[in-house]
Amino acid sequence: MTKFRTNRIFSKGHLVSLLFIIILAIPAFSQKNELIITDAYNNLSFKDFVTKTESNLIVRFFYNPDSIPDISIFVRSSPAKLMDVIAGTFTPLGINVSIDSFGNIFLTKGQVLITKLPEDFFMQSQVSGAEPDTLAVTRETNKTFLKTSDAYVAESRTVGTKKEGARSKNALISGYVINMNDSLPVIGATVFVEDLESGTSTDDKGFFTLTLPKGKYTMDVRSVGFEEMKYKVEVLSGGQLDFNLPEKVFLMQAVEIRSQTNHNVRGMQMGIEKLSINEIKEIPVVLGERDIIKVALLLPGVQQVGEGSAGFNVRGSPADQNLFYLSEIPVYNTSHLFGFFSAFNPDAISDFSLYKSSIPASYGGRLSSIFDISAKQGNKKKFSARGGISPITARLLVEGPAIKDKLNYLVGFRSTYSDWVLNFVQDPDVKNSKANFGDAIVNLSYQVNPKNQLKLISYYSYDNISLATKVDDKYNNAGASLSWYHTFNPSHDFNLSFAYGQYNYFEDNYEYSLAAYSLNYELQHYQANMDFSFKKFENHNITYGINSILYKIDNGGQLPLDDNSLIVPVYLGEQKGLELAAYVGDEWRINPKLSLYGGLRYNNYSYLGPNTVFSYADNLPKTPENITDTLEYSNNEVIQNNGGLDLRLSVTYLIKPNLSFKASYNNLHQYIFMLSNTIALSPTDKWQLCNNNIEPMAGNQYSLGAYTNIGAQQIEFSLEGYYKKVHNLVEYKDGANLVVNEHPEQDVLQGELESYGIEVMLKKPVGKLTGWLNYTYSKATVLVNNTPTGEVNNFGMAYPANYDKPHSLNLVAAYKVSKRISFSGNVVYSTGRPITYPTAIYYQDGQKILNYSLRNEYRIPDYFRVDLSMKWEGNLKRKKFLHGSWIFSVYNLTGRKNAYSVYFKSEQGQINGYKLSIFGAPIFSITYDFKLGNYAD
Amino acid sequence: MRIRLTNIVSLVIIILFVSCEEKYWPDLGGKYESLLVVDGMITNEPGPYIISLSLSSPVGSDISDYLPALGYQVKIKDDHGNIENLFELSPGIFSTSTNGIQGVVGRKYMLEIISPSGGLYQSNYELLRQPTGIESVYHKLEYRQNENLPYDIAGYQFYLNTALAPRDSCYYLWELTATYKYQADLKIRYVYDGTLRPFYNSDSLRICYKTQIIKEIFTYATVGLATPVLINYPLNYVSTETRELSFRYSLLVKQLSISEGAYKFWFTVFEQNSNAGDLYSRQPYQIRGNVFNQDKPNESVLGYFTVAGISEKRIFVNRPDPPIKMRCPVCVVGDGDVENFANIFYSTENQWPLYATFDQNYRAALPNQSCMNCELSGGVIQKPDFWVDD
Repeated sequence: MTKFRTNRIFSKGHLVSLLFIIILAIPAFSQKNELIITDAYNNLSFKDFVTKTESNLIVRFFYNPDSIPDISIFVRSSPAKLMDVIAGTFTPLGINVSIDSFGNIFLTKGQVLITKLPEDFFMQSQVSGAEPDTLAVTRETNKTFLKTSDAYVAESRTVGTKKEGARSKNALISGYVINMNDSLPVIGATVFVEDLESGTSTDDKGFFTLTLPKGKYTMDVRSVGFEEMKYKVEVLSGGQLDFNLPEKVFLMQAVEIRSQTNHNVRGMQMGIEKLSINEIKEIPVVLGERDIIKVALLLPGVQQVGEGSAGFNVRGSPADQNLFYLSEIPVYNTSHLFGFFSAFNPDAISDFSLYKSSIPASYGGRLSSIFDISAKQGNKKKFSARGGISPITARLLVEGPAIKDKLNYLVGFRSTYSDWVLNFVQDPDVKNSKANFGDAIVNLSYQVNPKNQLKLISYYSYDNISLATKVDDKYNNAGASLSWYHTFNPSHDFNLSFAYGQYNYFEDNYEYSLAAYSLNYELQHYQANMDFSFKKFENHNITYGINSILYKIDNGGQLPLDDNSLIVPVYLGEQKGLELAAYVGDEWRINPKLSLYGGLRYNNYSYLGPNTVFSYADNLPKTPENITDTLEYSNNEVIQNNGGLDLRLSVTYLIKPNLSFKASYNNLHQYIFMLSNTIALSPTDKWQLCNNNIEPMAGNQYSLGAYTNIGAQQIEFSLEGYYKKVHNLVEYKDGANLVVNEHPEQDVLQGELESYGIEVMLKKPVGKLTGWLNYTYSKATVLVNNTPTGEVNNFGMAYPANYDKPHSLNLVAAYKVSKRISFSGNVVYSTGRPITYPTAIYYQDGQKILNYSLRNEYRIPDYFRVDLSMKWEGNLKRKKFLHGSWIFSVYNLTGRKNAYSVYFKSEQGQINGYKLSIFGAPIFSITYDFKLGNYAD
Repeated sequence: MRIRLTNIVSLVIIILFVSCEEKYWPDLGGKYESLLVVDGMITNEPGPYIISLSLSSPVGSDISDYLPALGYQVKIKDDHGNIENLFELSPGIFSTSTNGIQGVVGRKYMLEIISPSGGLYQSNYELLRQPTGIESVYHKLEYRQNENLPYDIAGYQFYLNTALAPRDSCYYLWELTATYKYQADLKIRYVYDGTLRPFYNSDSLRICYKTQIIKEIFTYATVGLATPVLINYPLNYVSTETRELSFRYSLLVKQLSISEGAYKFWFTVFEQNSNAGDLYSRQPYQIRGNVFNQDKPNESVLGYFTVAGISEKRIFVNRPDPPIKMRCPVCVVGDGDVENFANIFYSTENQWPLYATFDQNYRAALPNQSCMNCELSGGVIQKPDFWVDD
């Protein structure tokens, strides 16, 4: 109804300004008091009443849900005036009711909103509209007429001029969504035009464009971690329109604006999880280390082999099918201390997105997921510093403008001081060990001019571990990215970026001095991206671009550690590969109910020389005996070339404003994999390129979902199902062991992975109580049965993947008692991971030996954990130098001895079984965080 | 060459000092596979050679877990056309005859088994390799830390040096057998076998020799070493907390030069039976040996028919010199043992002979029999032929 009306009014081009003035000039109360309802509204709960009223009348309710009691609305006479009914219900309860000229109804406790406009307001709009040579954007300072203390209620805006608009019916508006606190762009914010039931979202520099008929609209701007804002926008012609969003965590306004958007329902994306660091700040974690990867594990469809192991598994895929980007920098090792902590300093991160399905065509190269982490940009306004101390690490981050509003910086460090902990441990093997890790990030952002922006980000992380058992491990990530964002015109922009990522490790092993050796390995990833976004055509958002990646891998070698070692040096050679891709994608809003995303991505992969490779006889196992030829290739000569076309499709159908169905199909290719023969990833696992003897992997995923917002749209509900198949999955042969492996193709087999599952997610993003509850049912099985060569794993039978955990339930909840105190908690349950147990014993040379079952035939006991934490903020004084906060947390509150592993040892001729729990008791920790300035800074 | 991350996880775990390892026995759902197990070898040492055939037994069963395979016939063949049929010494245990086949370096051997139902099982032919000499076996006094003790424990760590191997790629398996001399803590003063009599030859059951194989797997490959020689290769460790070092200790090291296949078998067995259960160990799987059912190649047959060139060395070591103390538990006669003495007269015939001793005040006492009779601790009084006292 709303839609028809606005269309009718604004399609009559020349009448627009006249009508605009007439409608708005009518005193608000006299008009809105005439809103009439009937007894069809009688005896509805307040939430239902709001929903019904909002859908039938041009009104919007704003209220803090926590301050409105759960009451029913009675319409005692029919017809009745809406405002009388509401006022009659709420005034006796001490709740003030007011309405403004736009039909926004405010329910406030203890505070009256003045919604009447100042007399000269329309004069101002008219004047600005009449001056075409001034700025295209006119922004009203509403603070004078909406006299709430910190009220972020609807602002009204005017875009363009009547004069410019006279020539065309439609207007192209564009602009930035900006974080009000630090003037940084907000990525992925949605700008939704309620009247048209359509919208867009901001790109990676916070920019959006919209094509819409000239007219008056209510725009709803929202992003994760920010307060949702509504704006009344009058579009006279094309022009720029920027929105400032206040951060949610710092918000202290009296009126909380209720979640209105149906992003969950309306958005094109499915299988995407986006969380901001603000949202996860208080989730309790081990030893008080905030950790985005640990939080990701609480999302549906994300599994992990074991507590504290590196990497994770998305929808039944192995960990090497996830691609990690930290602001365009590819990151190959995402953890410290073998997986116990993530390699990302939480202070330096603004948000992350995890794409589990319907991966946009601009991404490729991994079959399962893209984990895109956005590093925080420096504060544009002022110098600021923050940091913290937990039992394991200390953190410090400084940021600020180098040139105000032009050039800003952010520098963050984090380091362990955990060695002292080791000295408390009695176990000599631990006492004599050392473990150190740290990471650093530097961001520079330069706004050259409104059309050009440059960003430089660099990242480094390291781990140095020295074990008393005479093994030293060092591993490092390093990377940098340089991006140039350029806007050709409001509907066309582009991003050019260069990124470099490196991962290397060194291991010294001196367990047996005669054979003491050192191992090393290095992977280098060079990436250049050119991405364009084009929004010229109405209802189309076209993206296209080129990505190229050059992989250079030094397989390293095994070298004698010192003069006493008799090890013969082994050099394992190098690998080089080039992955080129061109893509085009279009997000097409066919009509308000139906949207379609289609993307094509052509990948071309070349395995390049210089190298010496073997060719093997067809249909025979790749063993030294079956080598038919040894081929030499010169530098950059193509050894193997593979082309692959990825198809990405998704469709969204909006059945009702708050109910939609989505379906998607994803087809992807992957040319790099991890050689791992251990149950969980270890830092010494090597990334390996596909070559003439190892086929690229290909994956298909089908998913289907239903999305709705329930309970006056305070709760987002989604149900997604998926089916996935991966071809040419690389698995180690049973018993393959050699890390020093000159010809990996001789030790691997390629098989198939099949997985499917259902994910149910219930999320409450706003209110005093926030959090989510999800349940996942999933299965993932691997089959390695190479018929032509007769090579099989597990006797040719399918087996559950190591991380296959059919039932998984996660509850994450945070309750904000006051501005200074909040509580949060997690409840985690999952089926135990699969395991291979011994099913028989036998004797050999006088010793008892175990004979194992089929692979992963059994499961370890189920996993269950409860965590709790309390955050206590320092005082709320406005003028203070330093603001501190304390987080007290308990991990594994019930102290349940969850099995990490079950294993058997032959001890003095006896077979004994053991269960190992890592966190077999509640772990208490205290973290102190501080920042310069007050609570809100 | 291998990478073991086994300890890494324990490090990390203990950093967090809340980990715990507890005994646990999972429900295996009663599943158990009864598979044919082959165990035996032929070497260049004089026979007879023993091959045992058994069936795998359920894990954790309290009943005798050695189940002999019955009704089989076993042959050893070499590549010169010699065949020997083994005779069944006891159920499932087959032996070559005393003057039968003899392992010769450079020849290849295989095992052939015929099942009661006529199924034919064969191993691959494996070469009997030229053994590599053992240059030396020696011990060093070393201390080990223990989290539960305020002091470090002394003990002997044994090491081995091989001679230069006759070829570059050598695969070794070491079989260690320890023999030690020990004594019962208390002298026998009386014997009771229905009548209580003084026991004059009080040293006769005091000194014993105990021989036991060391149930640890030691295997190594010289592949990747510039010179095929092992120096200071660590063998077993014996601590002063056991009785083993109380007098004199002898270690017999048999060094088996085996095939690559046998090495892989033993290495994997080692790995799967000693892994610390962390997630950085390999996925365990059924280890297949070298014997296959010729009609049904997919049938799992466990165990390995080993063909090895053997060299051996025995050394003797005395207990560590003072001030190093032996820390093994020792019997001391207490008042309870004195009070217990009267019970000797209520003992039954099947318990006889019972020995008794004095306490420090020469009161008759009846402590645990193993405090006086060394044979009850597993040794024998008979001094082994090879034993040399210093």
